[in-house]
Amino acid sequence: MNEHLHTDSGGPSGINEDLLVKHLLGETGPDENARVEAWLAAHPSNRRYYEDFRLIWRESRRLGDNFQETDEQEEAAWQKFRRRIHPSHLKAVKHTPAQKRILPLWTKIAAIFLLAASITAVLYLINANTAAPEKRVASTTTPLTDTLPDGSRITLNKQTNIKYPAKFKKERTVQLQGEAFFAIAPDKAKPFRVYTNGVTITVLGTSFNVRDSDTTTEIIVETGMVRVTDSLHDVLLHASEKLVLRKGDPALSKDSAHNKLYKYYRTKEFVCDDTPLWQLAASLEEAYDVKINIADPQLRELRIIATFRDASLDQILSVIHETFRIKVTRSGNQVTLNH
Amino acid sequence: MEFTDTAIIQLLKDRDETGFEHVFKHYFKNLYRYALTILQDHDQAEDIVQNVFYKLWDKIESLHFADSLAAYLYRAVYNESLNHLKHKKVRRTYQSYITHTMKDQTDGAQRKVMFSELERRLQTAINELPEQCRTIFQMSRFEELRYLDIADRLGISVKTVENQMGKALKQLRIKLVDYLPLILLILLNILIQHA
Repeated sequence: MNEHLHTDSGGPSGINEDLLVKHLLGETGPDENARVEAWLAAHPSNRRYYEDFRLIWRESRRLGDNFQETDEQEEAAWQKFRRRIHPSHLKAVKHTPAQKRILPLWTKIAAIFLLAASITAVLYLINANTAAPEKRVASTTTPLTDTLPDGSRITLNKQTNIKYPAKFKKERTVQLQGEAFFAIAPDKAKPFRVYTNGVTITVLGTSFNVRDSDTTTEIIVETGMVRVTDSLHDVLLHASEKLVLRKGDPALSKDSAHNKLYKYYRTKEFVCDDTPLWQLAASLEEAYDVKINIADPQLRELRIIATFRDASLDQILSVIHETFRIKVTRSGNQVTLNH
Repeated sequence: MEFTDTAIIQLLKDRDETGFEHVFKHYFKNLYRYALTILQDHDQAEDIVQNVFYKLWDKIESLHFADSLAAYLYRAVYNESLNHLKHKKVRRTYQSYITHTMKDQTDGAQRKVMFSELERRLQTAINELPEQCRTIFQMSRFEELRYLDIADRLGISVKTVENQMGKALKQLRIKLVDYLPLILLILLNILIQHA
C-alpha cells in the first residue's frame, strides 16, 4: 500500500525507525541510547521526527480506553461458548465408529458438571474417598518416592503426608500436607487434582512442585501447565512459573521460578544460580536439620553460583568458607557464619 | 513455550473441555480487546472472538499452528474483524467518539470535532497495518508487553518485533503526518488553559 510514501522526505537519515521506536518504548541498551541521543541532538528536524512517533504512540492509547472486560463477563462468554459447542460435541461422538469412546465422554461430562459447583465437587470427593479404600504415604526424616495407581510418580520431601484412593475412579485426587514433586502420567479422561489446605491444583499432563506450610502454598511448574484454585483465586500456571499463595491474603505473587534450589530433595543437588546465601542456608537447614545463623545482613546477601551434588553439609560449608573467606563455626546442629 | 503449546493443542485435539476452558480464559480478554480496538463495538467484538474459538474447537484437526497458538488466535481475530468491517460494510457512527471526548473537554466545539477526527484517522491507519504488524502493535500498545514477551508469545524473534514496531510507527506517521501539527496545537492549548 502506498509504496511511494516509504521514501517520504520527512523520513530519518542516519538512523532507522526500528531503533527510534525501540528507544521510545525503553527497550534500548546503553549503546543504542547513545546513538539515538546523538542523532536527536544532530538536527532539530530529527527531534521533530521522533516527537511525531511519541505523539502517535500517546494518542493511540485512547483507542483501547473503552475496554473494561471483567471476570464475570469472561465467565459469561465461556458459558455461552459451552452452550454452543455441546450439540456438535455429542454429534461428533455419534459419528465416531469406536463405541468405547462413549463411556469416557460421559464420565468427562459428569466430571465437568460436578466441577461447576465447587461445593458439589468437594462433597463428591469426600464420598468417593469414603467409598473406596484409601492409601496413605508419609515420609519422616528422609525424602521418599512413591508411584500412584495410574503410574504418576511423586517424590515426598521430609515430614510430608499424602492420601489418595487405592484405585482412581473418575478423577485422580491426592491430598497433600507438606512438600512434594509430581510427575503426572498423562490421562485426559481423568483429571488429576491435588488438594492442599484449601488450594486445588488441577493438572493438565505436567510436572510440578508443591510446598505447603501453615501460612503459604508455593507451586512451581516444571513442564506443561496447571490450574490453581482456592476460594479467592483461579490462576493458570505455565512451565517455569512459580506461584505463592498466602492464607487468607487476596494478593498472590506469580513470577518465573529462577531459583532451582527447591529440587534438592528429589535430585540430591543444591543448584545455586546467583542465589543469595540466606536462601541456600534455608535449604541446608531444612535438608540437614541444622540451624544456620548469619547475623550480618551483608553476608546474607552474598551471591553463590555453584551446584553441590551429593555433598555433605561439611563439604558445602567448607566451600562457602573458601569462596567468601568467611568464618564458619559448627557445633552440633548449630552453624554460625560471620566475618 | 513450544512444549506448552504442543501440550495445549493435544488437549484441544482430545476434546478436553477443561483444557479448552483454560485456553478460552487465558486468551479471551486480550482477543476481545483486540477485536474491540479494531471494531469499536462490544457486541461485534464478542461475536468475533466467539467465532474464532468455535472454529478452533470445531476444526482443530485441520488447523495449522505455524508459529504459536497465540499467533494463530490473534491472526484469526484480525482477519475476522477486518472481514466483518469489509463485507458487512459497517458504517461506524462517530457519535461515540464525540460523546467520549466530551467528558474530557467541556469547551470549544471545534476541538471536540478535531479530537474525534484524529481518533478516527488513527483508528483507520492502525487497522490498515498488515496483520503481523498490527498484532505486534496491539500487544505492545494495549497489552503493554515488552518486546521479549511479544516474541515469546508469537514464536518469533525479538528482532522481528523490533522491525515490525518500527514499520508500524513509520506507516502510522506517514498516514497521520498532516494532522500531527494540529494535535500538537490542541494539546498545547489544553496545557495553557489548565496552567
